[in-house]
Amino acid sequence: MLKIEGLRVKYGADEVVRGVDLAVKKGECVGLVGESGCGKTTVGLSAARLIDARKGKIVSGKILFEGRDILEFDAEGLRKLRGRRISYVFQEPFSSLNPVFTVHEQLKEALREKGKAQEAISEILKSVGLEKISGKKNIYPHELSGGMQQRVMIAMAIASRPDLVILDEPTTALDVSVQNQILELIAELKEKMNLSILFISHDLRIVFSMADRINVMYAGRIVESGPKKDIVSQPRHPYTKGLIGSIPSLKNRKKRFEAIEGKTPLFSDLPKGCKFYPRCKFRIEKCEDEEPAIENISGDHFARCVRAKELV
Amino acid sequence: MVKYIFRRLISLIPLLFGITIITFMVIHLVPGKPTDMETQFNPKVSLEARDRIARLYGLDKPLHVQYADWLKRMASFDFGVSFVDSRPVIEKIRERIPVTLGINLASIILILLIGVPIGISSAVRENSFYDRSMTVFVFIGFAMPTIWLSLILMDLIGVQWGILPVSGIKSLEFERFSFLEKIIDVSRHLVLPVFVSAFAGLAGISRYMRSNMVQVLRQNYIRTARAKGLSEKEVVYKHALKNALLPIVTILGLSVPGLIGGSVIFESIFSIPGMGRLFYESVMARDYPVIMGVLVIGAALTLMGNLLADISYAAVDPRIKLE
Ligand SMILES: Nc1ncnc2c1ncn2[C@@H]1O[C@H](COP(=O)(O)OP(=O)(O)OP(=O)(O)O)[C@@H](O)[C@H]1O
Ligand code: SF4
Ligand SMILES: [Mg+2]
Repeated sequence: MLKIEGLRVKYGADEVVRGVDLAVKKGECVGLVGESGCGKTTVGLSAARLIDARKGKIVSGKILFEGRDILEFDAEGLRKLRGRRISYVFQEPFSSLNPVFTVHEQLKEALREKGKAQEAISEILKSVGLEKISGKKNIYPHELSGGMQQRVMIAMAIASRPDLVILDEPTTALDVSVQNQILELIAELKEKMNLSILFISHDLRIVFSMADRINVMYAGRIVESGPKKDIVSQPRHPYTKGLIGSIPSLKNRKKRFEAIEGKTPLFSDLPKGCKFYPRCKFRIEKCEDEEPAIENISGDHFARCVRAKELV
Repeated sequence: MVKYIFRRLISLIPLLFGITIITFMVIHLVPGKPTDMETQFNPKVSLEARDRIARLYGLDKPLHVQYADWLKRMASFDFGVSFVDSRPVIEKIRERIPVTLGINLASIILILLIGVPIGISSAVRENSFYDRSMTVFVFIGFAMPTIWLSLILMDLIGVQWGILPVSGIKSLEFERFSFLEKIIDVSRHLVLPVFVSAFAGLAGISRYMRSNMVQVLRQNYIRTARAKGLSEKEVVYKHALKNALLPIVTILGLSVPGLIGGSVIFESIFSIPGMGRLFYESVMARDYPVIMGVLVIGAALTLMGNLLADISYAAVDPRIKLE
């Protein structure tokens, strides 16, 4: 369905996505996880060609959607692709809805067929759990709670029955109690509509609950990728291990969960060798000089670490 | 809503009160007296005669008493009579106001019709050659002294090419014209004044529109609109434009004092018998009742403009409710 190959994106002089490969198969939910600022949103935006041209630029790579490279699409081609085939749910629902148009109006624009819009809109609002406002035409975004706004965003994303939905931290801006409801809604819609999903989050716990495959990103690159069960049971990259260790789960509730020490490096000043080197507990001399290539561990499991095979 | 407007109107009263006190003091403190015109250049008028006139106008009383007198009359909407020709002030203003309002309205419409599209097209092509050229163009209009531009245009278009009349609002033969000819005649007289006042105001609106639009185009909801698969036209002219236009409503309401000030200048240059020139003449003659009358009307218009700005903003922006 979606296949990203060797994607590189620059904001000004900083290359914030430094060669990312990623694939989403039909009906699959693929997670993209990593600390804030590692480039997740940039990858997601690139996949829908939504990078603001004034600020950023896709330098190289391929973004194949059903085999065709969308980097070569013209404006009209992109217009037909967006919404209808690939849709997007953004990180902050409030600022992502236009404040001066009604929810109704904004949903209507997302519909593929404009006939019988009224019924279609009520139907969609119901399907995202917004029965309460499905009959009202004059609701503006600011009159809704954060959770409801995100439901509207999701409604807009599925209104045209897309094949792929990119969900960029769909619950980060919401209260914890609302988060779970939204995640359940997404899981339910995925089943019902057979959606393919690229799920972006900094929260590994959420990604574990949603994704079939997981890609771990660090400083603009994928450092580990594999089926969920492999990542959960045998993470190979020290960064992934650190992320898992920092989840306050039942298992390690007693020993205080430990955050990964140190800060993410600046894109303007990346380490020469392995980008995780300064923070890595398992580092050896060799790691400082050369960034390791991504290597196959087993089956569909890959990791970018010289010690991946020995660190079980 | 009605309650809100009522409350706002009530709150304007002390404000108007304050404005009149200050202006009253200021104009009476300016050197020169209304009696100068009638007496100073006339050697036959004796000192006593001058004092008699002053007494007649109440100018011999202390300032605060004069103000109290004026206020008492104002309370019954009596603006007094002009020192210059003894005609009621309200009548003098009434016959001058339509021209001034007409010119300013025409110039606002022109500014919007030209300035808004310039702003939008510049924002869409932010930092392009077009954008930069437009910036230079509108700032030339902004920086060029009105008087200088007016004189150049009067000389070129009026005198040398003789295309348009350069002063007043009617031709000499006006009374003999048919209705249609009258309209054409007045319009021809107003072309230059309207153009001059619009040219100066263009920079403000177009730059403001541009910066609004640039800012709106960076908002997340614009990205959402693109992500939905809307065309660039729908994104810019529907989603962005409505957001960028909202603040313009406010600016219009707040531009009243600037317009009044501008009127004084270009009405004097083009000899247009409007409020602006009336104000200029009455200041020169120290015709206190007329000065105060124009100022009160001007202040009232300004405050109304503010109120109208708030009301119309609430009308167009769904997020704002007037309490
Ligand atoms: N519009 C922009 N202009 C300049 N730099 C940007 C821009 N957007 C993002 N960046 C930079 O690119 C890097 C990656 O940003 P991105 O938003 O893709 O990260 P992210 O992983 O989604 O982070 P978060 O969890 O905060 O959403 C960051 O270091 C950020 O500072
Ligand atoms: S390559 Fe070395 S520094 Fe990098 S993650 Fe592996 S062990 Fe740590
Ligand atoms: Mg992000």
